[in-house]
Amino acid sequence: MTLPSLLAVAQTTLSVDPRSIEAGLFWIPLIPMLAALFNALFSARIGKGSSAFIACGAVFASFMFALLAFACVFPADGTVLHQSLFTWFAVPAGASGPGVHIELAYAVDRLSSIMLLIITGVGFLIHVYSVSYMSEENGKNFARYFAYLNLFVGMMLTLVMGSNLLVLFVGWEGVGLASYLLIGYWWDDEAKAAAGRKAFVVNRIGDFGFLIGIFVLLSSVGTVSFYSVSKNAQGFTQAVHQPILERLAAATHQLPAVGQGPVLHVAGLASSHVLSGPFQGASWLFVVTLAVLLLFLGAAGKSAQIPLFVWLPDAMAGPTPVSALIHAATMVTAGVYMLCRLNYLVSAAPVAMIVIAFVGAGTALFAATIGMFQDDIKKVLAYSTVSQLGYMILGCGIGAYWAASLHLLTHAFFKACLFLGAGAVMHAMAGETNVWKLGGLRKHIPLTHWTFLIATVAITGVFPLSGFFSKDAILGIAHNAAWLGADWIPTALWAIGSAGAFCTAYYMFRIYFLTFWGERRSLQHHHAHEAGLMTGPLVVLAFLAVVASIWGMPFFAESAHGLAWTSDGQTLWKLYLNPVFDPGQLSLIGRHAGEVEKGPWIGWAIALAIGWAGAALAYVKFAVAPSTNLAAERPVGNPLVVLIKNKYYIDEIYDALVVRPVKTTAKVLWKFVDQGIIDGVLVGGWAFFTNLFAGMLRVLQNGSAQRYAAAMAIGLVIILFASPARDFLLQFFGH
Amino acid sequence: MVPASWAAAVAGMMLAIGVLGVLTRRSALVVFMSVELMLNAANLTFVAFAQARGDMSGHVMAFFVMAVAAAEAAVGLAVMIAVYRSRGTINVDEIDLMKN
Repeated sequence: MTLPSLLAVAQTTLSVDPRSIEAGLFWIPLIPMLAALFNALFSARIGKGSSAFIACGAVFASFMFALLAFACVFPADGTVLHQSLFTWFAVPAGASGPGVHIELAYAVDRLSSIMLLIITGVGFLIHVYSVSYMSEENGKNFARYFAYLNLFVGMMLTLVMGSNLLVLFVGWEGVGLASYLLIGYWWDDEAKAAAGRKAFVVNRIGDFGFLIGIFVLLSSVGTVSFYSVSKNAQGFTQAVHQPILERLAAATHQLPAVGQGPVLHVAGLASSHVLSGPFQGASWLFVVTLAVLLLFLGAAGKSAQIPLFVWLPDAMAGPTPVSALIHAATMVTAGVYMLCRLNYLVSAAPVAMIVIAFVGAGTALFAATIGMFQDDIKKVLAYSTVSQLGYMILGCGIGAYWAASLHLLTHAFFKACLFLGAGAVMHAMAGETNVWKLGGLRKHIPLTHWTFLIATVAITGVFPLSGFFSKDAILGIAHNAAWLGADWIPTALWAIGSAGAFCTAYYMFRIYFLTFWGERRSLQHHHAHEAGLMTGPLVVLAFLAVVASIWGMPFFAESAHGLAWTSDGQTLWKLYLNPVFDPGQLSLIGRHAGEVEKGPWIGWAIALAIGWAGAALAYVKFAVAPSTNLAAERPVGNPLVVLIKNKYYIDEIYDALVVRPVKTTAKVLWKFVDQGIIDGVLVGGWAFFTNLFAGMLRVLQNGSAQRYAAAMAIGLVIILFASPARDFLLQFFGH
Repeated sequence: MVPASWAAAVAGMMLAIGVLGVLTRRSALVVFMSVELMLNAANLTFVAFAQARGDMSGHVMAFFVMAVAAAEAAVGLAVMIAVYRSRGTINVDEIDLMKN
């Protein structure tokens, strides 16, 4: 039985009535949130078993719902499940701009259905893993952990299912909150609480841009809805609209050809102007570019890109399963998801694309070089995540949305597996994370060793594991892209990305060899062991990291009989997501070659050679050399290495440029403005003058009845004689 | 027959002496006596003008004032005794609890 026929069978057996699924879409995010509420409210009263069962069960239930939703959008092209719960708010159209109508609505299309499966599926595995990993916490903290984790899952599902940018933003902020809570989970440790705060503040900077981007779209296009549907009398979806895309196409006079969806072309955007609102008179190209760049600022914050990546390495202060779920597999990919979701906008803004592509490629290489010299296994994985997110952002920036989202999927599997493996190592070695103090663990925790190796090979990009196809798809398309006549841009992007791939292979095999090979360098008598529920998720994720490669093999073609296997076809993933990414990809025609041409073989060979070269270098340096050689303690002479070892002093630069000026400003505001002006002059001034006048009036109230009587007598005299005295004066001066 | 103007002049002087006594004397008892002097100045005025006008209402008023003054004297002296018992003095300069 070949794969295409398997898929055909799956398509027929998975046909589900979409109406029943649509009516219950809101349960997907609601179930984990209810479980979070339960665990939060009753954390002191329920046992660990109950809170773990409720938390895992809720995510599993969501996973089942997500599978049903997936089964609905899987078979037919362009099916979108849509549920509109109520109108959130509405502003009528007026002189200040187009009207706004925002609904609390959920939509599931082919892209978000995959995200749902990642979030709930990987999320479920990590919940199960956490039960073992967090078993040493007391009952209340245990329930608190699962409350946060469930809150995260619920918010992430809201983010992915939101049918407009504002619902997405609700989830966007919600996952930020959950991330903050979980990074600072051990809040009594000052450094960990500070790491949570840093993550929150840095994310807020990005969110600020994101929010302004939403405002730009609202005030010009007038809608931020991804999808709206019209239904027939039976409740079946009749037509699916993409309001942002369609309104922009109408405003720029780019009516679609018969039988095709609307596509935004740069020329059309450049020649049309905004008719009303704050951007009146500006060209649509400017408005769209501005919006995309602002939204990308949000993505840079959430997806840890230059210059806002600094929070992610610190986020490793949270429990390791949190690093796996939030800071590797799901939350940090929200920015990539958002850019993929708005692919038609991104593709319509070439300047923004160049920025996005270079930021992505730059981050990929920059973070990878830092990862090469870190000694903390979780820090290496953190910089690795930043680097891999850079590849995804690069994919978005060159219009290879399918490749970016494929890398998102494969990365979710192998990076979650790596983090959980690191967690298993820590669990086995009494919380030790310094790779120079690990070593020789492959005999003691074999299952962790094998899954870690598989995931390492996958992220390194070795044929035929999943990371190879997804990363090489991005680099291949980057190399073949034609950028407005500038030939050096694709070459530069490819070169930066490939250099990053070399570093990736090096640092991954470095920590692999140092952790699992050689002799044990510390805690020799500690009994290293694997724990109960932690191995299952590792095996499942390693398995997925291998088999996910089927999505990335470019050997498929659509034919009359379904899918066919050819040597120069498309990837399954691209075919599957074409309905979502078509508008963005079509508008690139003429600017991009878009696809890997001339067969991928040469590019593959180069990528493979780069990957093996990095791995070989790590092997020579760390596997062959005597393991007792604690290289970490050797003084480093090379200034470049010193620079990279200190993470390019980025934290110090931020400290000098941002943190300290802000602190100084805050101190001035506190000491001078608040304590001086507000407390001293305004508040104190009122008190001072009130006191002064009161002191003057107090003299009058002396308690001496005789003086009161004297005042009365004098007053009486004045009253009695005022009138005659006036008459006398008038008479005297005789007016 | 004494003219009303003379009676009024005497009444004015009595009132002035009473006011000065109220305002300047320290002993509450003397202050009280000064008040009585002022009341009697008023009474003298009532009676003098009533006689001059041949009207009885002024006489009525004078008796009324005397009745009230008697009641006031009873209550006032009782208050003074009570004050003296609690504070040991009836010097009005020292009775200034209501100040500030």
